[in-house]
Amino acid sequence: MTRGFRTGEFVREHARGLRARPWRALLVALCAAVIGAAVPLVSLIETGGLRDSWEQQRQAGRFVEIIRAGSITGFPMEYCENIARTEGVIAVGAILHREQIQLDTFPGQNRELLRVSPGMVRIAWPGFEIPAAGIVAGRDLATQTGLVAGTSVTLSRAGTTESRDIVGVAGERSRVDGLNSSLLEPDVRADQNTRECFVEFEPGAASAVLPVLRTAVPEQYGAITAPFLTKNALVGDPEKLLPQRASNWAWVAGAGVIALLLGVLWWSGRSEMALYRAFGVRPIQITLALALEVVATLLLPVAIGAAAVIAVAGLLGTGIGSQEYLLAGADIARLMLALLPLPLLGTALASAISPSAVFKGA
Amino acid sequence: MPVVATDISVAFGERRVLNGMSATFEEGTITALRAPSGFGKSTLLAIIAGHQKPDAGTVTITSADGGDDTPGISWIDQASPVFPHRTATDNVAMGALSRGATREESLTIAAHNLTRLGLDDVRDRAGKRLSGGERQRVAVARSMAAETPVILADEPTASLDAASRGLVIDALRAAADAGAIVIIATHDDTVAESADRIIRMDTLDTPSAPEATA
Repeated sequence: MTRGFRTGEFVREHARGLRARPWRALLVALCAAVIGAAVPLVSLIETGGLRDSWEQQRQAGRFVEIIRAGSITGFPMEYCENIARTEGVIAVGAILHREQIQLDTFPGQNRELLRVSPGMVRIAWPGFEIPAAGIVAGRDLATQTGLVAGTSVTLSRAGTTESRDIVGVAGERSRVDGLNSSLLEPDVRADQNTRECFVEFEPGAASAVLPVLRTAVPEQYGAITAPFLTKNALVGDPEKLLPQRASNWAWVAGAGVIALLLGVLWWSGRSEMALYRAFGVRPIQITLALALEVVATLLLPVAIGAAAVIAVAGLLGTGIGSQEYLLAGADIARLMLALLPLPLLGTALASAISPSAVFKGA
Repeated sequence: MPVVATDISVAFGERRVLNGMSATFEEGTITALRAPSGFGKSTLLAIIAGHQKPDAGTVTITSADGGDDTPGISWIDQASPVFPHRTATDNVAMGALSRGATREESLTIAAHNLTRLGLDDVRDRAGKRLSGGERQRVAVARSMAAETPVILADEPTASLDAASRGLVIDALRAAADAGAIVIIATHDDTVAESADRIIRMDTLDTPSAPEATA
Protein backbone atom coordinates (compact mmCIF):
# COMPACT_ATOMS: atom_id res chain seq x y z
CA MET A 1 0.00 0.00 0.00
CA THR A 2 1.13 3.52 -0.64
CA ARG A 3 1.33 5.98 2.21
CA GLY A 4 -1.43 8.57 2.35
CA PHE A 5 -5.04 8.72 1.25
CA ARG A 6 -5.73 7.79 -2.35
CA THR A 7 -7.30 10.89 -3.83
CA GLY A 8 -10.31 9.03 -5.18
CA GLU A 9 -10.93 7.32 -1.84
CA PHE A 10 -10.65 10.59 0.06
CA VAL A 11 -13.10 12.34 -2.27
CA ARG A 12 -15.50 9.43 -1.90
CA GLU A 13 -15.10 9.49 1.90
CA HIS A 14 -15.86 13.21 1.91
CA ALA A 15 -18.94 12.55 -0.20
CA ARG A 16 -20.00 9.76 2.19
CA GLY A 17 -19.57 12.23 5.03
CA LEU A 18 -21.96 14.61 3.26
CA ARG A 19 -24.46 11.84 2.63
CA ALA A 20 -24.24 10.84 6.29
CA ARG A 21 -25.69 14.28 7.12
CA PRO A 22 -28.29 14.68 4.38
CA TRP A 23 -30.14 17.51 6.12
CA ARG A 24 -27.06 19.67 6.21
CA ALA A 25 -26.33 19.11 2.52
CA LEU A 26 -30.00 19.62 1.68
CA LEU A 27 -30.11 22.87 3.67
CA VAL A 28 -27.12 24.21 1.75
CA ALA A 29 -28.55 23.02 -1.57
CA LEU A 30 -31.95 24.51 -0.78
CA CYS A 31 -30.42 27.81 0.21
CA ALA A 32 -28.34 27.81 -2.99
CA ALA A 33 -31.41 26.98 -5.11
CA VAL A 34 -33.42 29.78 -3.48
CA ILE A 35 -30.62 32.26 -4.06
CA GLY A 36 -30.15 30.91 -7.58
CA ALA A 37 -33.83 31.61 -8.19
CA ALA A 38 -33.87 34.96 -6.39
CA VAL A 39 -30.96 36.52 -8.29
CA PRO A 40 -32.54 36.32 -11.77
CA LEU A 41 -35.99 36.96 -10.30
CA VAL A 42 -35.08 40.32 -8.77
CA SER A 43 -33.16 41.18 -11.91
CA LEU A 44 -36.13 40.35 -14.14
CA ILE A 45 -38.54 42.21 -11.85
CA GLU A 46 -36.38 45.31 -11.69
CA THR A 47 -35.49 45.43 -15.37
CA GLY A 48 -39.12 44.72 -16.24
CA GLY A 49 -40.21 47.49 -13.87
CA LEU A 50 -37.79 49.93 -15.41
CA ARG A 51 -39.03 49.11 -18.87
CA ASP A 52 -42.67 49.31 -17.78
CA SER A 53 -42.09 52.74 -16.24
CA TRP A 54 -40.29 53.79 -19.37
CA GLU A 55 -43.10 52.51 -21.60
CA GLN A 56 -45.71 54.23 -19.44
CA GLN A 57 -43.80 57.48 -19.75
CA ARG A 58 -43.41 56.99 -23.47
CA GLN A 59 -47.17 56.59 -23.70
CA ALA A 60 -47.65 59.66 -21.52
CA GLY A 61 -45.41 61.77 -23.75
CA ARG A 62 -41.85 61.15 -22.56
CA PHE A 63 -40.67 61.94 -26.09
CA VAL A 64 -42.91 64.87 -26.80
CA GLU A 65 -41.44 68.37 -26.79
CA ILE A 66 -43.40 71.62 -27.03
CA ILE A 67 -42.18 74.69 -28.84
CA ARG A 68 -43.97 77.65 -27.20
CA ALA A 69 -44.20 81.01 -28.86
CA GLY A 70 -42.92 84.05 -27.01
CA SER A 71 -46.06 86.09 -27.68
CA ILE A 72 -49.79 85.59 -27.86
CA THR A 73 -49.75 85.92 -31.64
CA GLY A 74 -47.71 82.73 -31.96
CA PHE A 75 -45.63 81.76 -34.97
CA PRO A 76 -46.54 80.52 -38.45
CA MET A 77 -47.67 76.91 -38.54
CA GLU A 78 -45.30 76.14 -41.40
CA TYR A 79 -42.32 76.18 -39.00
CA CYS A 80 -44.05 73.49 -37.01
CA GLU A 81 -44.97 71.42 -40.07
CA ASN A 82 -41.42 71.64 -41.40
CA ILE A 83 -40.18 69.71 -38.38
CA ALA A 84 -42.13 66.65 -39.57
CA ARG A 85 -39.44 66.12 -42.22
CA THR A 86 -36.72 65.63 -39.60
CA GLU A 87 -35.56 62.03 -39.30
CA GLY A 88 -36.82 60.37 -36.15
CA VAL A 89 -39.88 62.58 -35.78
CA ILE A 90 -43.08 60.57 -35.39
CA ALA A 91 -45.64 63.35 -35.43
CA VAL A 92 -46.05 67.11 -35.15
CA GLY A 93 -49.26 68.87 -34.23
CA ALA A 94 -50.66 72.12 -33.01
CA ILE A 95 -53.87 73.72 -31.86
CA LEU A 96 -54.67 76.44 -34.38
CA HIS A 97 -57.82 77.97 -33.00
CA ARG A 98 -60.20 77.64 -30.05
CA GLU A 99 -63.80 78.82 -29.96
CA GLN A 100 -66.73 78.30 -27.61
CA ILE A 101 -69.71 76.48 -29.15
CA GLN A 102 -73.04 75.28 -27.86
CA LEU A 103 -74.20 71.79 -28.66
CA ASP A 104 -77.89 72.40 -29.36
CA THR A 105 -78.48 68.67 -29.68
CA PHE A 106 -77.53 68.36 -26.02
CA PRO A 107 -78.94 71.41 -24.22
CA GLY A 108 -76.65 73.04 -21.72
CA GLN A 109 -73.47 71.60 -23.23
CA ASN A 110 -71.12 74.50 -23.93
CA ARG A 111 -67.82 73.19 -25.18
CA GLU A 112 -64.69 74.19 -27.03
CA LEU A 113 -64.26 73.43 -30.70
CA LEU A 114 -60.58 73.19 -31.39
CA ARG A 115 -59.25 73.48 -34.85
CA VAL A 116 -56.04 71.48 -34.91
CA SER A 117 -53.43 70.43 -37.42
CA PRO A 118 -54.00 66.85 -38.67
CA GLY A 119 -50.94 65.59 -36.78
CA MET A 120 -52.42 66.78 -33.48
CA VAL A 121 -54.73 63.77 -33.39
CA ARG A 122 -51.66 61.51 -33.38
CA ILE A 123 -50.04 63.63 -30.68
CA ALA A 124 -53.16 63.57 -28.49
CA TRP A 125 -54.11 59.93 -29.08
CA PRO A 126 -51.02 57.98 -30.23
CA GLY A 127 -51.93 54.86 -32.13
CA PHE A 128 -55.59 55.76 -32.21
CA GLU A 129 -57.03 55.99 -35.71
CA ILE A 130 -59.44 58.87 -36.19
CA PRO A 131 -60.55 60.20 -39.56
CA ALA A 132 -58.54 63.24 -40.54
CA ALA A 133 -61.59 65.06 -41.86
CA GLY A 134 -64.69 65.95 -39.87
CA ILE A 135 -65.28 66.59 -36.20
CA VAL A 136 -63.86 64.28 -33.53
CA ALA A 137 -65.30 64.16 -30.00
CA GLY A 138 -63.15 63.74 -26.92
CA ARG A 139 -63.83 60.73 -24.70
CA ASP A 140 -65.31 62.58 -21.72
CA LEU A 141 -67.65 64.55 -23.93
CA ALA A 142 -68.81 61.40 -25.68
CA THR A 143 -69.36 59.64 -22.35
CA GLN A 144 -71.40 62.50 -20.93
CA THR A 145 -73.56 63.05 -24.01
CA GLY A 146 -73.74 59.61 -25.62
CA LEU A 147 -72.13 60.85 -28.82
CA VAL A 148 -71.00 58.12 -31.20
CA ALA A 149 -69.39 58.20 -34.60
CA GLY A 150 -72.02 59.15 -37.19
CA THR A 151 -74.10 61.28 -34.82
CA SER A 152 -75.20 64.56 -36.34
CA VAL A 153 -75.01 67.53 -33.99
CA THR A 154 -76.14 71.13 -34.20
CA LEU A 155 -73.50 73.68 -33.24
CA SER A 156 -74.32 77.28 -32.35
CA ARG A 157 -71.73 80.03 -32.20
CA ALA A 158 -71.85 83.76 -32.46
CA GLY A 159 -75.45 83.74 -33.69
CA THR A 160 -74.90 81.11 -36.38
CA THR A 161 -76.05 77.50 -36.31
CA GLU A 162 -74.80 74.61 -38.39
CA SER A 163 -75.27 70.87 -38.46
CA ARG A 164 -72.12 68.69 -38.45
CA ASP A 165 -71.47 64.96 -38.35
CA ILE A 166 -69.24 63.44 -35.67
CA VAL A 167 -66.82 61.25 -37.65
CA GLY A 168 -65.03 59.75 -34.72
CA VAL A 169 -64.98 59.42 -30.96
CA ALA A 170 -61.69 59.06 -29.07
CA GLY A 171 -61.69 55.78 -27.18
CA GLU A 172 -58.73 56.71 -25.00
CA ARG A 173 -58.05 59.67 -22.77
CA SER A 174 -55.98 62.28 -24.53
CA ARG A 175 -52.57 62.94 -23.10
CA VAL A 176 -53.08 66.65 -23.84
CA ASP A 177 -55.21 68.33 -21.19
CA GLY A 178 -58.55 69.76 -22.29
CA LEU A 179 -59.03 67.67 -25.38
CA ASN A 180 -61.12 65.00 -23.66
CA SER A 181 -64.12 67.24 -23.21
CA SER A 182 -63.83 69.13 -26.51
CA LEU A 183 -64.60 68.74 -30.15
CA LEU A 184 -61.66 68.68 -32.53
CA GLU A 185 -61.70 69.63 -36.13
CA PRO A 186 -58.55 68.85 -38.09
CA ASP A 187 -57.61 71.73 -40.36
CA VAL A 188 -55.15 71.38 -43.20
CA ARG A 189 -54.50 75.09 -43.71
CA ALA A 190 -50.86 75.87 -42.94
CA ASP A 191 -51.09 79.61 -43.31
CA GLN A 192 -52.15 80.12 -39.71
CA ASN A 193 -50.29 80.80 -36.50
CA THR A 194 -50.04 78.60 -33.47
CA ARG A 195 -48.79 79.29 -29.96
CA GLU A 196 -47.69 75.69 -29.26
CA CYS A 197 -46.16 73.11 -31.54
CA PHE A 198 -46.10 69.53 -30.24
CA VAL A 199 -43.38 67.22 -31.59
CA GLU A 200 -43.07 63.52 -30.83
CA PHE A 201 -39.94 61.63 -31.81
CA GLU A 202 -38.39 58.19 -31.56
CA PRO A 203 -36.68 57.49 -28.19
CA GLY A 204 -33.35 56.99 -29.89
CA ALA A 205 -33.60 60.19 -31.92
CA ALA A 206 -33.58 62.72 -29.07
CA SER A 207 -30.01 63.85 -29.60
CA ALA A 208 -30.69 64.51 -33.29
CA VAL A 209 -34.16 66.06 -32.96
CA LEU A 210 -33.77 68.37 -29.94
CA PRO A 211 -31.21 70.70 -31.61
CA VAL A 212 -33.51 70.97 -34.63
CA LEU A 213 -36.41 72.03 -32.40
CA ARG A 214 -34.37 74.81 -30.80
CA THR A 215 -33.75 76.40 -34.19
CA ALA A 216 -36.97 75.44 -35.96
CA VAL A 217 -38.70 78.75 -35.22
CA PRO A 218 -36.88 82.01 -36.06
CA GLU A 219 -35.58 83.96 -33.09
CA GLN A 220 -37.94 86.86 -33.72
CA TYR A 221 -40.84 84.79 -32.36
CA GLY A 222 -39.08 84.25 -29.03
CA ALA A 223 -40.00 80.57 -28.98
CA ILE A 224 -38.65 78.23 -26.34
CA THR A 225 -38.58 74.44 -26.25
CA ALA A 226 -39.69 72.45 -23.21
CA PRO A 227 -40.53 68.83 -22.46
CA PHE A 228 -44.21 67.95 -22.53
CA LEU A 229 -43.88 66.12 -19.21
CA THR A 230 -42.45 68.00 -16.27
CA LYS A 231 -38.80 67.14 -15.75
CA ASN A 232 -39.23 65.90 -12.21
CA ALA A 233 -41.73 63.34 -13.48
CA LEU A 234 -39.29 61.83 -15.94
CA VAL A 235 -37.79 58.40 -15.35
CA GLY A 236 -34.35 57.61 -16.63
CA ASP A 237 -33.52 55.76 -19.79
CA PRO A 238 -33.54 52.07 -18.90
CA GLU A 239 -30.62 51.45 -21.21
CA LYS A 240 -28.60 53.77 -19.02
CA LEU A 241 -30.18 52.69 -15.75
CA LEU A 242 -29.85 48.94 -16.24
CA PRO A 243 -26.10 48.77 -15.63
CA GLN A 244 -26.60 50.69 -12.35
CA ARG A 245 -29.71 48.85 -11.22
CA ALA A 246 -29.87 47.72 -7.60
CA SER A 247 -30.39 44.09 -8.61
CA ASN A 248 -26.97 44.29 -10.20
CA TRP A 249 -25.69 43.57 -6.70
CA ALA A 250 -28.04 40.70 -5.93
CA TRP A 251 -25.43 38.16 -6.97
CA VAL A 252 -22.95 39.73 -4.56
CA ALA A 253 -25.43 39.45 -1.70
CA GLY A 254 -26.32 35.92 -2.76
CA ALA A 255 -22.70 34.85 -2.94
CA GLY A 256 -22.10 36.45 0.46
CA VAL A 257 -24.99 34.58 2.08
CA ILE A 258 -23.89 31.27 0.55
CA ALA A 259 -20.25 31.82 1.53
CA LEU A 260 -21.31 32.75 5.05
CA LEU A 261 -23.53 29.69 5.39
CA LEU A 262 -20.89 27.37 4.01
CA GLY A 263 -18.23 29.05 6.15
CA VAL A 264 -20.31 28.47 9.29
CA LEU A 265 -20.91 24.83 8.34
CA TRP A 266 -17.28 24.22 7.48
CA TRP A 267 -16.19 25.90 10.70
CA SER A 268 -18.61 23.78 12.71
CA GLY A 269 -17.13 20.70 11.02
CA ARG A 270 -13.53 21.76 11.49
CA SER A 271 -12.80 18.88 13.85
CA GLU A 272 -13.49 16.47 10.99
CA MET A 273 -11.23 18.45 8.71
CA ALA A 274 -8.64 18.40 11.50
CA LEU A 275 -8.95 14.61 11.58
CA TYR A 276 -8.31 14.47 7.86
CA ARG A 277 -5.33 16.75 8.34
CA ALA A 278 -4.08 14.48 11.11
CA PHE A 279 -4.36 11.60 8.62
CA GLY A 280 -2.03 13.50 6.32
CA VAL A 281 -4.57 14.43 3.68
CA ARG A 282 -2.90 16.83 1.26
CA PRO A 283 -4.28 20.33 0.55
CA ILE A 284 -4.86 19.52 -3.11
CA GLN A 285 -6.99 16.54 -2.07
CA ILE A 286 -9.01 18.77 0.27
CA THR A 287 -9.45 21.30 -2.54
CA LEU A 288 -10.68 18.60 -4.91
CA ALA A 289 -13.16 17.20 -2.37
CA LEU A 290 -14.47 20.67 -1.50
CA ALA A 291 -14.71 21.54 -5.20
CA LEU A 292 -16.97 18.55 -5.78
CA GLU A 293 -18.99 19.52 -2.69
CA VAL A 294 -19.38 23.05 -4.05
CA VAL A 295 -20.45 21.76 -7.45
CA ALA A 296 -22.97 19.30 -6.02
CA THR A 297 -24.44 21.37 -3.20
CA LEU A 298 -24.06 24.91 -4.59
CA LEU A 299 -23.48 25.33 -8.30
CA LEU A 300 -25.95 22.69 -9.40
CA PRO A 301 -28.78 23.95 -7.14
CA VAL A 302 -28.03 27.56 -8.15
CA ALA A 303 -28.30 26.56 -11.81
CA ILE A 304 -31.51 24.63 -11.16
CA GLY A 305 -33.09 27.52 -9.22
CA ALA A 306 -32.14 30.03 -11.91
CA ALA A 307 -33.31 27.78 -14.74
CA ALA A 308 -36.63 27.24 -12.97
CA VAL A 309 -37.28 30.98 -12.68
CA ILE A 310 -36.30 31.66 -16.27
CA ALA A 311 -38.37 28.74 -17.52
CA VAL A 312 -41.43 29.86 -15.55
CA ALA A 313 -40.99 33.45 -16.74
CA GLY A 314 -40.79 32.19 -20.30
CA LEU A 315 -43.85 29.97 -19.89
CA LEU A 316 -45.88 32.78 -18.37
CA GLY A 317 -45.02 34.89 -21.40
CA THR A 318 -44.45 37.95 -19.28
CA GLY A 319 -43.06 39.93 -22.17
CA ILE A 320 -39.50 39.71 -20.94
CA GLY A 321 -37.05 40.68 -23.65
CA SER A 322 -33.85 38.91 -24.57
CA GLN A 323 -31.82 41.68 -22.97
CA GLU A 324 -33.48 41.06 -19.61
CA TYR A 325 -32.68 37.36 -19.89
CA LEU A 326 -29.08 38.20 -20.77
CA LEU A 327 -28.77 40.49 -17.76
CA ALA A 328 -30.27 37.85 -15.46
CA GLY A 329 -28.00 35.21 -16.99
CA ALA A 330 -24.97 37.43 -16.48
CA ASP A 331 -25.91 37.87 -12.82
CA ILE A 332 -26.17 34.12 -12.38
CA ALA A 333 -22.84 33.60 -14.12
CA ARG A 334 -21.25 36.15 -11.78
CA LEU A 335 -22.79 34.40 -8.77
CA MET A 336 -21.42 31.04 -9.87
CA LEU A 337 -18.00 32.49 -10.62
CA ALA A 338 -17.97 34.08 -7.18
CA LEU A 339 -18.56 30.64 -5.63
CA LEU A 340 -15.70 28.98 -7.49
CA PRO A 341 -12.94 30.13 -5.09
CA LEU A 342 -14.78 28.66 -2.09
CA PRO A 343 -12.90 25.32 -2.24
CA LEU A 344 -9.63 27.23 -2.09
CA LEU A 345 -10.87 29.24 0.88
CA GLY A 346 -12.00 26.03 2.56
CA THR A 347 -8.57 24.51 1.93
CA ALA A 348 -6.91 27.58 3.40
CA LEU A 349 -9.18 27.26 6.44
CA ALA A 350 -8.33 23.56 6.79
CA SER A 351 -4.62 24.26 6.39
CA ALA A 352 -4.69 27.02 8.98
CA ILE A 353 -6.09 24.86 11.74
CA SER A 354 -3.91 22.86 14.07
CA PRO A 355 -5.48 19.43 14.58
CA SER A 356 -4.28 19.14 18.17
CA ALA A 357 -5.58 22.64 18.97
CA VAL A 358 -8.95 21.82 17.41
CA PHE A 359 -9.17 18.53 19.31
CA LYS A 360 -8.46 20.30 22.57
CA GLY A 361 -11.33 22.63 21.86
CA ALA A 362 -13.60 19.79 20.68
CA MET B 1 14.32 5.62 12.08
CA PRO B 2 14.25 7.39 15.45
CA VAL B 3 12.32 10.50 16.28
CA VAL B 4 14.82 13.04 17.51
CA ALA B 5 13.71 16.15 19.37
CA THR B 6 16.52 18.62 19.92
CA ASP B 7 16.54 21.67 22.20
CA ILE B 8 12.79 22.15 22.06
CA SER B 9 11.60 25.30 23.80
CA VAL B 10 8.05 26.54 23.97
CA ALA B 11 6.51 29.31 26.04
CA PHE B 12 2.90 30.44 26.28
CA GLY B 13 3.25 34.08 27.14
CA GLU B 14 5.36 34.33 30.27
CA ARG B 15 4.98 30.65 31.05
CA ARG B 16 7.71 28.41 29.64
CA VAL B 17 6.46 24.84 29.27
CA LEU B 18 9.44 23.31 27.47
CA ASN B 19 12.92 24.58 28.07
CA GLY B 20 15.48 23.19 25.66
CA MET B 21 14.22 19.65 25.91
CA SER B 22 15.96 16.97 23.87
CA ALA B 23 14.96 13.36 23.53
CA THR B 24 15.31 10.46 21.13
CA PHE B 25 12.49 7.98 20.61
CA GLU B 26 13.49 4.65 19.14
CA GLU B 27 11.63 2.21 16.94
CA GLY B 28 9.83 -0.63 18.68
CA THR B 29 9.54 1.18 21.98
CA ILE B 30 6.78 2.74 24.02
CA THR B 31 7.78 5.95 25.76
CA ALA B 32 5.56 7.43 28.45
CA LEU B 33 5.72 11.16 29.08
CA ARG B 34 4.80 11.78 32.69
CA ALA B 35 4.21 15.01 34.57
CA PRO B 36 1.41 16.93 36.18
CA SER B 37 -0.71 19.04 33.83
CA GLY B 38 1.01 22.08 32.36
CA PHE B 39 4.48 20.59 31.92
CA GLY B 40 4.25 20.35 28.15
CA LYS B 41 3.45 16.68 27.52
CA SER B 42 0.71 17.42 24.97
CA THR B 43 2.71 20.33 23.56
CA LEU B 44 5.67 18.05 22.85
CA LEU B 45 3.40 15.58 21.08
CA ALA B 46 1.87 18.37 19.00
CA ILE B 47 5.34 19.55 18.00
CA ILE B 48 6.43 16.05 17.02
CA ALA B 49 3.22 15.67 15.01
CA GLY B 50 3.91 18.98 13.25
CA HIS B 51 0.69 20.51 14.57
CA GLN B 52 2.61 23.17 16.43
CA LYS B 53 5.91 24.94 15.87
CA PRO B 54 8.36 25.24 18.77
CA ASP B 55 9.86 28.59 19.69
CA ALA B 56 13.23 26.94 19.29
CA GLY B 57 14.58 23.51 18.51
CA THR B 58 13.92 20.88 15.90
CA VAL B 59 12.24 17.54 15.49
CA THR B 60 13.73 15.11 13.00
CA ILE B 61 11.89 12.05 11.80
CA THR B 62 13.63 10.02 9.17
CA SER B 63 11.73 7.62 7.01
CA ALA B 64 12.64 3.97 7.21
CA ASP B 65 14.28 3.96 3.79
CA GLY B 66 16.16 7.17 4.52
CA GLY B 67 14.19 9.05 1.90
CA ASP B 68 12.70 12.50 2.14
CA ASP B 69 9.13 11.37 2.71
CA THR B 70 7.93 12.12 6.20
CA PRO B 71 6.75 8.89 7.74
CA GLY B 72 3.12 8.65 8.73
CA ILE B 73 2.20 9.76 12.20
CA SER B 74 -1.05 8.89 13.86
CA TRP B 75 -2.50 10.92 16.65
CA ILE B 76 -4.68 9.61 19.44
CA ASP B 77 -6.14 12.56 21.26
CA GLN B 78 -7.60 12.61 24.77
CA ALA B 79 -10.71 14.25 23.29
CA SER B 80 -11.01 11.18 21.05
CA PRO B 81 -12.36 13.04 18.04
CA VAL B 82 -14.35 10.88 15.69
CA PHE B 83 -16.40 11.56 12.60
CA PRO B 84 -19.71 12.00 14.44
CA HIS B 85 -21.96 11.01 11.56
CA ARG B 86 -19.96 8.01 10.39
CA THR B 87 -20.18 4.55 11.88
CA ALA B 88 -17.48 3.15 14.14
CA THR B 89 -16.45 0.93 11.23
CA ASP B 90 -16.12 3.90 8.90
CA ASN B 91 -14.16 5.80 11.52
CA VAL B 92 -11.67 2.97 11.94
CA ALA B 93 -11.55 2.31 8.20
CA MET B 94 -10.42 5.91 7.79
CA GLY B 95 -7.12 4.92 9.41
CA ALA B 96 -6.51 2.24 6.79
CA LEU B 97 -7.59 4.57 4.01
CA SER B 98 -5.05 7.08 5.23
CA ARG B 99 -2.27 4.65 4.35
CA GLY B 100 -3.55 4.07 0.87
CA ALA B 101 -5.90 1.16 1.35
CA THR B 102 -8.92 0.79 -0.86
CA ARG B 103 -12.39 1.01 0.62
CA GLU B 104 -12.79 -2.78 0.58
CA GLU B 105 -9.39 -3.36 2.18
CA SER B 106 -10.05 -0.71 4.79
CA LEU B 107 -13.33 -2.31 5.86
CA THR B 108 -11.58 -5.63 6.45
CA ILE B 109 -8.83 -3.95 8.43
CA ALA B 110 -11.43 -1.97 10.40
CA ALA B 111 -13.33 -5.13 11.34
CA HIS B 112 -10.15 -6.72 12.66
CA ASN B 113 -9.22 -3.71 14.77
CA LEU B 114 -12.73 -3.19 16.12
CA THR B 115 -12.65 -6.78 17.37
CA ARG B 116 -9.21 -6.22 18.82
CA LEU B 117 -10.45 -3.23 20.85
CA GLY B 118 -13.68 -4.95 21.95
CA LEU B 119 -15.94 -2.82 19.77
CA ASP B 120 -17.82 -5.46 17.79
CA ASP B 121 -21.12 -4.46 19.36
CA VAL B 122 -20.89 -0.86 18.19
CA ARG B 123 -19.40 -1.30 14.73
CA ASP B 124 -22.50 0.14 13.05
CA ARG B 125 -23.14 2.87 15.61
CA ALA B 126 -22.57 6.50 14.54
CA GLY B 127 -19.64 8.24 16.15
CA LYS B 128 -21.86 10.73 17.93
CA ARG B 129 -23.73 7.87 19.64
CA LEU B 130 -20.61 6.26 21.08
CA SER B 131 -19.74 6.70 24.75
CA GLY B 132 -16.55 8.50 25.71
CA GLY B 133 -14.77 5.22 26.34
CA GLU B 134 -15.96 3.73 23.07
CA ARG B 135 -14.80 6.81 21.18
CA GLN B 136 -11.42 6.51 22.80
CA ARG B 137 -11.10 2.89 21.74
CA VAL B 138 -12.31 3.76 18.22
CA ALA B 139 -9.55 6.36 18.05
CA VAL B 140 -6.99 3.75 19.11
CA ALA B 141 -8.40 1.20 16.64
CA ARG B 142 -8.21 3.82 13.90
CA SER B 143 -4.59 4.46 14.77
CA MET B 144 -3.87 0.75 14.67
CA ALA B 145 -5.57 0.52 11.27
CA ALA B 146 -3.35 3.31 10.02
CA GLU B 147 -0.25 1.28 10.90
CA THR B 148 1.87 4.37 11.02
CA PRO B 149 5.51 4.08 12.09
CA VAL B 150 4.91 6.78 14.71
CA ILE B 151 1.97 6.77 17.12
CA LEU B 152 1.44 9.76 19.37
CA ALA B 153 -1.16 9.25 22.08
CA ASP B 154 -2.36 11.98 24.42
CA GLU B 155 -4.04 10.40 27.46
CA PRO B 156 -5.38 7.45 25.43
CA THR B 157 -6.92 5.74 28.44
CA ALA B 158 -8.43 8.72 30.22
CA SER B 159 -12.03 7.53 29.89
CA LEU B 160 -11.52 3.81 30.07
CA ASP B 161 -12.26 1.14 32.63
CA ALA B 162 -9.60 -1.38 33.54
CA ALA B 163 -10.64 -3.95 30.93
CA SER B 164 -10.71 -1.44 28.08
CA ARG B 165 -7.47 0.08 29.30
CA GLY B 166 -5.88 -3.35 28.97
CA LEU B 167 -7.10 -3.67 25.39
CA VAL B 168 -5.61 -0.29 24.50
CA ILE B 169 -2.30 -1.08 26.15
CA ASP B 170 -2.16 -4.42 24.34
CA ALA B 171 -2.86 -2.70 21.02
CA LEU B 172 -0.15 -0.11 21.58
CA ARG B 173 2.29 -2.82 22.66
CA ALA B 174 1.51 -4.80 19.52
CA ALA B 175 2.19 -1.73 17.42
CA ALA B 176 5.52 -1.15 19.16
CA ASP B 177 6.42 -4.82 18.75
CA ALA B 178 5.74 -4.40 15.05
CA GLY B 179 8.35 -1.63 14.99
CA ALA B 180 6.34 1.51 15.68
CA ILE B 181 7.57 4.38 17.83
CA VAL B 182 4.86 4.90 20.44
CA ILE B 183 4.93 8.04 22.56
CA ILE B 184 2.23 8.40 25.20
CA ALA B 185 1.46 11.40 27.35
CA THR B 186 -0.29 9.93 30.35
CA HIS B 187 -1.22 10.30 33.98
CA ASP B 188 -2.19 6.62 34.08
CA ASP B 189 0.18 4.50 36.16
CA THR B 190 -0.92 1.33 34.38
CA VAL B 191 -0.01 2.77 31.01
CA ALA B 192 3.26 4.15 32.32
CA GLU B 193 4.17 0.77 33.76
CA SER B 194 3.65 -0.83 30.39
CA ALA B 195 6.07 1.60 28.73
CA ASP B 196 9.65 0.72 27.88
CA ARG B 197 10.79 4.13 29.03
CA ILE B 198 9.36 6.96 31.10
CA ILE B 199 10.35 10.59 30.72
CA ARG B 200 9.39 12.67 33.74
CA MET B 201 8.93 16.08 32.22
CA ASP B 202 8.42 17.92 35.47
CA THR B 203 12.09 17.35 36.28
CA LEU B 204 13.34 18.78 32.98
CA ASP B 205 13.43 22.40 34.10
CA THR B 206 16.83 22.99 32.59
CA PRO B 207 18.08 22.10 29.12
CA SER B 208 18.28 18.36 29.28
CA ALA B 209 20.74 15.95 27.90
CA PRO B 210 20.04 14.67 24.38
CA GLU B 211 18.82 11.42 25.83
CA ALA B 212 16.30 12.22 28.50
CA THR B 213 15.55 9.27 30.71
CA ALA B 214 13.35 8.28 33.58
